[in-house]
Amino acid sequence: MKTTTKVILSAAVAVALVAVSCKKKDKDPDPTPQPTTTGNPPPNEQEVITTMKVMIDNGTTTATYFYKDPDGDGGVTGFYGPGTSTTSTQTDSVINLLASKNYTVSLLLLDETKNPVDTISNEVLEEAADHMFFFNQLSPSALPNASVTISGTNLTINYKDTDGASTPKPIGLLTEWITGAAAAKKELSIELKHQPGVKNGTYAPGDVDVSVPFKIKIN
Amino acid sequence: MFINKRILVFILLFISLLFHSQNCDLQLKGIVRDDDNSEHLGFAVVKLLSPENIIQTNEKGEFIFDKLCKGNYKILIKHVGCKDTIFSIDLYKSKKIIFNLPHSYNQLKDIEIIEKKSDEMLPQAMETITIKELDKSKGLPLGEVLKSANGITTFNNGATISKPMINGMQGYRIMTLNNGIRQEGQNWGNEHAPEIDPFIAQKITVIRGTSTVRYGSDAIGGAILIEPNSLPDSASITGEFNTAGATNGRSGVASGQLQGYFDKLKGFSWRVQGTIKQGGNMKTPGYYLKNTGVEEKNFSYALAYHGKKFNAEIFYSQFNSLIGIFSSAHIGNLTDLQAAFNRSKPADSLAVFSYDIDRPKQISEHELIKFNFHFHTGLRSRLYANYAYQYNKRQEYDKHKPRNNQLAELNLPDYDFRLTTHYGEILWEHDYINRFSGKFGGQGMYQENAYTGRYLLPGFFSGTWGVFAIEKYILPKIEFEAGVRYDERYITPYVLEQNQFVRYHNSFRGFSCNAGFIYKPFSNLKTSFYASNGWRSPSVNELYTNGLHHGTATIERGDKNLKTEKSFNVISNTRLNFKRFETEFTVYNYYFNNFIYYFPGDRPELTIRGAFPVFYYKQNNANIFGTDGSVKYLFPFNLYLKLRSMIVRGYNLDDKQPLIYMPADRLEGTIGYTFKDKKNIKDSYVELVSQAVKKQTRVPVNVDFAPPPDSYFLVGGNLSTTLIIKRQPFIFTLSVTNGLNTIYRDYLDRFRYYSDAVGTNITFRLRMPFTLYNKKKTKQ
Repeated sequence: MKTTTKVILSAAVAVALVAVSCKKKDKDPDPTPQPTTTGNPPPNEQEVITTMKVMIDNGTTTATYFYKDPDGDGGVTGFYGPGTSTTSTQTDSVINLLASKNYTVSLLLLDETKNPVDTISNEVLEEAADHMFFFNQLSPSALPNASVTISGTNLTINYKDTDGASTPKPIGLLTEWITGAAAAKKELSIELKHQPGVKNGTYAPGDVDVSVPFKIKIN
Repeated sequence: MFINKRILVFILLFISLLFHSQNCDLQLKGIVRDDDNSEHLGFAVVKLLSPENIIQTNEKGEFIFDKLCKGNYKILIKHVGCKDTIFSIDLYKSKKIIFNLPHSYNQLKDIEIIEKKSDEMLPQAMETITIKELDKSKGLPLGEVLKSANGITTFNNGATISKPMINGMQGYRIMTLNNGIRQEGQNWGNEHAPEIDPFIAQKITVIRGTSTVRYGSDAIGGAILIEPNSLPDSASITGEFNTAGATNGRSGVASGQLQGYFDKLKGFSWRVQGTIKQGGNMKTPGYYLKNTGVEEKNFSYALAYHGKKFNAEIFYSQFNSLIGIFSSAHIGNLTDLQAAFNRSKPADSLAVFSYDIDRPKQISEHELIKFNFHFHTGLRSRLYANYAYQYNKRQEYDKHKPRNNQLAELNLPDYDFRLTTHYGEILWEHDYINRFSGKFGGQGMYQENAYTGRYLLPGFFSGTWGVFAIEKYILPKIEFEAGVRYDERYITPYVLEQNQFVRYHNSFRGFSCNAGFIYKPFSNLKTSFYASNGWRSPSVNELYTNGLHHGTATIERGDKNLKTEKSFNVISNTRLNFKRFETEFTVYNYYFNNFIYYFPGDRPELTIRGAFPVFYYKQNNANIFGTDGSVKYLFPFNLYLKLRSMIVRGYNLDDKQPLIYMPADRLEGTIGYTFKDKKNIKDSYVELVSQAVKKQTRVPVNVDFAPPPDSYFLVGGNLSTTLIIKRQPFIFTLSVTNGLNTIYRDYLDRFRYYSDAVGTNITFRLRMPFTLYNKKKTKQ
C-alpha cells in the first residue's frame, strides 16, 4: 500500500515536471514544420532573388542580358543569358556596346520561383531610401549629376533616378551609359546593396543583396 | 634500445602469465552486520584493496569475491552511519566470514558520496577529469573544459564556440553522453558546439578509441561521458555554489545546486541545479572583437527513488544560449572574403566593449527529459531501462537583415532547425560471475528534423536500432574484453531539387566488434591494448546539404552517393607510477575506408549574391595516427613538474596528401608547488603552465583560404586554495590564460581567417560545497 502511494506520488511529480517542461514550446512563434509523408515542402518565408535583367535601349531596339540563379543563392548553379536554353551552362556574358553611343539602361530583378513571377525591383523602388545599385563597387559623384567612370574602358554611367529622401541619393534602377572609343573586354559588376538607415550614396555601408559580374565590350 | 627491452619484458611477463596460471579460485563469502544490533547491512560498499575490486552487499548484507589467490587481503567496508573499516584476512581456502561494522556517531564529517560501483576499466585510453581539474576551467565552454585530458583539442569559432576533438576527430565521430544519454543536436556545423552546461558535471570521462560497440555505431573517434554527482542516499540537504568572473569579456557566471534526501519519504532523493552566464565582447591583444558576447541560462532537476529491488530516476535539463558571432567573420561573398583575409585587422577593429549581442548570432536551446529505471535482477546483476526525449532548437541569424523591410522588421532567423529525438535503451549487466562480467543490450532511436527559413539541411526522419553484447574475462592481473554489435539505420530526407521536394530513402546496416585486454602486473602499472572496427553511415548533411551557409560564408554540397565509412582502430595505453614519476602514454591508429571529409572545391561558385567558395563532401581511404603522453614528477619538496605532448597525423591515402584540419603538434609544461595543509587552509597550490603549439605544416596543397598560422607559445597559471571557515569550505581558484598577452592565431580556430585569438584573461573562481541539513542514519 505504502509502495503504491509512493509510485503514484512519483508518477504525479514526474508528469508535473514534464508538463512544466513542455509548456515552453507553446510560446514558440511558429509551429514546428514537419516534413510530411507526401513530401510537401515546409513553409519557406525567405525572400529569393533569381534573376537580374539588364535592358539596354539604344533608342530604337532593346537588348536584354540576364543572369539567372534558378533557386536563388546556393542550390542550382546560375547561368547567363541571352541564351535561349533554360538550363544553359553559359557562365559568362559579354554585353556588346557600340562606340560613341548613348544607351538607356534599366535593371530588373525578379523572383521566378513565385507564380506569378515577383518583380523584386518594384520593392527596391518602394524602399528606394534603403537601396542602391553600384557598378564595379564605385561610389558615384554627388547628385544631380551622379556618375561613375569605368576605368580600363571608355564607359561612363550616369544615375538617372533618385530615392526622394530629404537629401536625395541615386538608386541606379535607371541609368544612362555613354560609350567612347572602341575598347577591349572589361569586367563590369552590378551590385545591389541594402543600406537600411545608412545609405549615404557610397558603396561602403550595408550588405550585398545582388552581385553579378558581367563583361562589357565596346566595339 | 631501452624501449625495446621494456617491451620484451612485457611480452615475457604476459606469456609467463598465460602459461603459469596460478591456483586462484578461492572464494570469500561475507556477511556485513551492524556491530551494535547485529542487523545485516544491505548495500554496503565492499572494497577489496589490491587487486582493486568494489562490490556492494545485497539486501541481506551478503557479498562474494571469487577468483582470489592465496594470500593476505585487505577489505574496506563502508556503510552509511558506520565507520569505514578495513579488515585484514588471510586466505588459504574458501571461507565465509562475518564482518561486524562498528557504528559511527561521529558527526563532524560531511556525508561522503559513497561509490556505488567501481569505475569500470576500459581497454581504450580513458581519462577522468575530476572536480579538482574542473575547478580550473569552470565557466568556460565544455570543449575548453575537456582540454585538460590528454589527446583532446578543440575546433573553435573564437573563444565562445568550442567543439571537442578526440584524437583529431570531431563532430559526428565522437559521441557525447550527457548523464548517460547521447546528446543529439545539430552536430554537423563546425560552429555548433555541444549544448551542455559544464556545471552539471561532477566528473567527465573521456574515452579515446572507437567505442562503437557500447555507445552506438557513430562513436568511431571516442566518447565523452558527462556525469553529475550521484544523489544522496541518507536524509540530508546539501548543495554547492559556484561563481566565476573573468576579465576578458568581463564575463560572469553563477551556478548553484541543491540536493537532498527526504527524511519522511524514504528512498526519495532530489536535485535542482541552475546556471546563468553573461559575457561581453572578447578582446585580442590589439582590439575588441565586435559582437562576441554570450548569454546562457541553464537548469536541470532530478528526482530519484532508490529502493531495495529497483531504482528509478527522472532527470530534466534545459540549456539556453545566445551567442554573438564575431561580425567581421560573417562575410558577404568571395570579394568580401578576400578583403577580410588581406586585412591585418578586422574591419570592425574599432569596436568597444559591450554586452550587446547583435546579428549575426545563434540562439540554441536544448531540452532533455530522461526516465531511468534499474532493477536488481540478482545479487550481481542489474537490468536498466532508459528512455530519453531531446528537443534541440537552433536559430541562426545572418549579419544582414532581409532586403524587404517588412520581412526585416519581423527579425526572423535565417535558419531555424528543430530536432526531436526519442531514445530508448534496455541494458542488462552482470558483475563478476565465474570470472566473467558483461553487458547486453539494445538501443533504438527515432529522430525528426524540421526547419523554417532558408534551405540548407533538408528536413528528415531517421531511425536507428542496435543490439550489443560485451563480455569481460577477468583474471587477477589481466582482463580480456570482447564485444560485438549490430546496427541498422535509415534516413528519409526531403531534398529540394529544382524547387521540388524529393523524398529519398537510405538505409545502412553493419556489425562492429572489438577486442582488447588490460594488463596490470603491478598495482602501479597498467597497460592496455584494444582493437576494434566500426562504421558510420553518412549523415544527412554529408549526403544532402545543398546551399549557402552564411554562418561560414561557404556553399556546402553533400553527395547523395556517399557510402558507409568504415574504420579499423588500434589503441594502446600505458600508465606507470614509478617512485616519484606518474606517466601515461598512448599510441593509436585509425584506418578508414571511405573516410568522409569536407573539402574546398577548386574554384568559387557564382550566385546572384556574388561568388562563394564551395565545399564538397568527399570520401577517400585515410589514416589517422597519433601519440600523446604525460609525465609528472613529484619532487621531494612539494614541487611538481608535468609535461604533456601530443602528435596527430592524418593522411588521405588516395590523394597522398595530409588531411585538412588536423591539430598541430603541441607540448605543455606545468611547474607547480603544493603547500602544506594547515588547519583551515587546505589543498593549496600554485602552478605555472606554458604551452607551445607548432605551426601546422601538414596541410593539403592550395586548398585552404589562408595558410596555417605560425607557431605560438602561451604562458598561464593557476592558484588555488581551500579555506575552511566555521566548517564551511571555500575553494578559490585564480587562473590566468595567455598571461603575456601574446598575439597569435590557432590553425583550428575558424576566426583565424579574420582576427587574432583572445588576449590575457584572468578568471577568479569560487566553489562552496555546503550542507544545510544532515541527519545521520542512526538506529536506536
